[in-house]
Amino acid sequence: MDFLRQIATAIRLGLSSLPARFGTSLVIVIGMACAVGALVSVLSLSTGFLKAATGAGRTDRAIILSQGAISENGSSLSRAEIAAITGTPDIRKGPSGRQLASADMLGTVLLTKKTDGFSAFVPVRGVGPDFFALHPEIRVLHGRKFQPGKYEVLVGEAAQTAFAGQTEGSRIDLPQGRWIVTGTFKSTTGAGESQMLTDAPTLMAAMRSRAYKSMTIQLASADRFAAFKNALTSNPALSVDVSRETDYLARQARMLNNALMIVGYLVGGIMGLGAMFGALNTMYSAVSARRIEIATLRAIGFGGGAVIWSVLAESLLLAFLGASIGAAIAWALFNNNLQVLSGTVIHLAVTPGLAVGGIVFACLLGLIGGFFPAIRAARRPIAEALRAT
Amino acid sequence: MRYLPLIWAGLIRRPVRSLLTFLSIFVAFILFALLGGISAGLAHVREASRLDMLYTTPRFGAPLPYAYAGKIAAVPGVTIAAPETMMRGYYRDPKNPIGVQMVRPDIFAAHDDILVTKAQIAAFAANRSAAIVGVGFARAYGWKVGDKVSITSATLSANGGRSWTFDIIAIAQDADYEDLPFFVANYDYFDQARLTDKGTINMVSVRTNDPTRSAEISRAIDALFANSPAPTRTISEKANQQSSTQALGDVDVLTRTVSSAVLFMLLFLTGNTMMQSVRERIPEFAVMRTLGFSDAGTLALVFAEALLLCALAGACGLLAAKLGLSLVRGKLPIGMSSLVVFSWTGMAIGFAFALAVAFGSALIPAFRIRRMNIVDALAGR
Repeated sequence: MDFLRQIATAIRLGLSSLPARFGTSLVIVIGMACAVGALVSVLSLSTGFLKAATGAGRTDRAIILSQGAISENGSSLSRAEIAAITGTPDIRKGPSGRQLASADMLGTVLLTKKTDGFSAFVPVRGVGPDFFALHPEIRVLHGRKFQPGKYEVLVGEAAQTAFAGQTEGSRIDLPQGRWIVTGTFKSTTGAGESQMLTDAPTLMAAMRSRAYKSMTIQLASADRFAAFKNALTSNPALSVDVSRETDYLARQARMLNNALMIVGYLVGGIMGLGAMFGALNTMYSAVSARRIEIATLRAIGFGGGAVIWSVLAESLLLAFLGASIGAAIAWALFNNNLQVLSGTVIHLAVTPGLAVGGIVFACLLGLIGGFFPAIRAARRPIAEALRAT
Repeated sequence: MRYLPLIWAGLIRRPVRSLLTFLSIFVAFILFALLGGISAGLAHVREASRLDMLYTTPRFGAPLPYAYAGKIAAVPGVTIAAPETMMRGYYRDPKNPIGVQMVRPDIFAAHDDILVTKAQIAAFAANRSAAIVGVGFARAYGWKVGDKVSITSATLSANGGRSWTFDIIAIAQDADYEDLPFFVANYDYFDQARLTDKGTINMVSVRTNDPTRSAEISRAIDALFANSPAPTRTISEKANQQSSTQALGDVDVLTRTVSSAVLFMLLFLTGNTMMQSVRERIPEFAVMRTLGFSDAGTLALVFAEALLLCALAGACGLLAAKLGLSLVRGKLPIGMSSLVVFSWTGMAIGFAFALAVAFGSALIPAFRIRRMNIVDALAGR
């Protein structure tokens, strides 16, 4: 208890002289603010991308592609294969009495970005009649659903904000003419909104394709995946690859996300290192400025531990302050900032987890920056320190 | 030069402080060099992309008929129209995706930036299962000329398999990118062997005789097929690069933002070091002034100290980045290393920034020395 009171007193004393060292202390605050700001901004690109690309995944849904296909683009499933998959057990039945499954077709549409006027290819997904029952997270926000057999599309909310000419009633260049936008859909997961939805057979007829690209099904329960996969892969009429939806989406996002993470950690790590050297410098000069005060404390019976804690507390406080400022600036500048990254509309996301991670990182650096000066302060012979002017 | 020992003595007066400041500047300039390298790499991509090279691709994702290549070749201004289709697959493991470009030998005329000899093109045309691979893939997977390589794909071949075997007859370099990964094989062989989508292509590479007319020719090509079941979208390599580097999340803006954060942090950090150092030595400077050093002389001393520290640390950081990258170049993911370009011009710009930081950080301490009153300073007031 006595030790704790010593620490509290030493910390209070140290902080009370902080204003006198305002300029030097600012080095830690600004250094950490820059390092954490950079780290959090770059990583917000990665969290935003992951959220948009993989957020819609569920472990109790499975996606089926033709064997050897890495993505939906390289896959092709015939009507016979679709029928064989639908007949497999372990698929849950929907309200319509049919199996909850959707055989999908993919096309592309060329849209103009609102921000810079450049065009980008965006996916158009043709879906089966049970798509909305299979994806309860997706609901129509404005307007109405497309009608099968008509050249109509429903656009995602994210695509609508990023690209021009997406409002209800606009016409979009798609195969066989100009298709009409009947409304906007939104996903409660915030993911998968970069695409357009329409009826699969209509899209296939317009694209003159006889094969689907993929099929997504609702498993009876998440733990039936192995049995379902086994049933499909052992069926001689089928040559398909089966993945959990979560795994599939994570695999698709991995390459780009890895690159973004490497850049984020590299930038943040190097700047953090620089800020740590700055913190060491500041804390060395702080203990040097406080040397008489520290020696006096020790002369009247304060332990070395209390001195160490008071130095650490100061550097920790400054690092925490700087990191919070950095994270706040990153949040203000970049949170919800709209970007189009390889066909996916993403909102940069400075999540609480990311901000806390950045602050913890800075506090660790602050601890290192305070540690060595603290040791030096605690070890310094008292008499020598008191004698020096 | 005579004053160098004096400047040096100023720096090593507080060795720990100078060393820590040195290290901060050092690591900051490693980062600065890397960011500059990425910016330069993107600029290189923009410069290397051509205006007289057009790409015709499906507008809606459905493949195009092979005959489109012939029709495009007849458009006025078009000199070469080389068709190709992409077979998506992987080597050994789905983690190693490879898009095999199925081409006809005329692709090498359209893409003269791929460095192949006439003999290699002839060998490619003569061997149905021949493949020419880029240095990037060859290095990553250890392929050599003469190797047989199997690529697994979702595309079924007539013999029922999903494995496609190719003979590597040449490993080629791209004139603009050192380790560009590409894999080209014969379209005729592929089209005969595949079961679905026979007679279709994914892309036509088009060369024109006049870069200034590229937009007009693109429109003329797309107009040919506008009312067909498979409309096209034609775009010049340059325009495509512009929109796709833009799509890379405004990397340039991001690197510039981070670079300015680095510089700001450095300016403050070094400025603080100089400030502390000068404040402690006010009496010493007063002595020097008393001994006859001029006003300008003492100022120059402060600037020289900052310059020496920043120039040394900055140069070391820049060189360390250049050296470090050349060491890890072979271990980077395929195609990544040509994205970072370290030119001597870039290094010189980085060095100029180091000097600017030195100047900026010495400004306030120098001002303080100018205002110094010798008598007060000597008295320690």
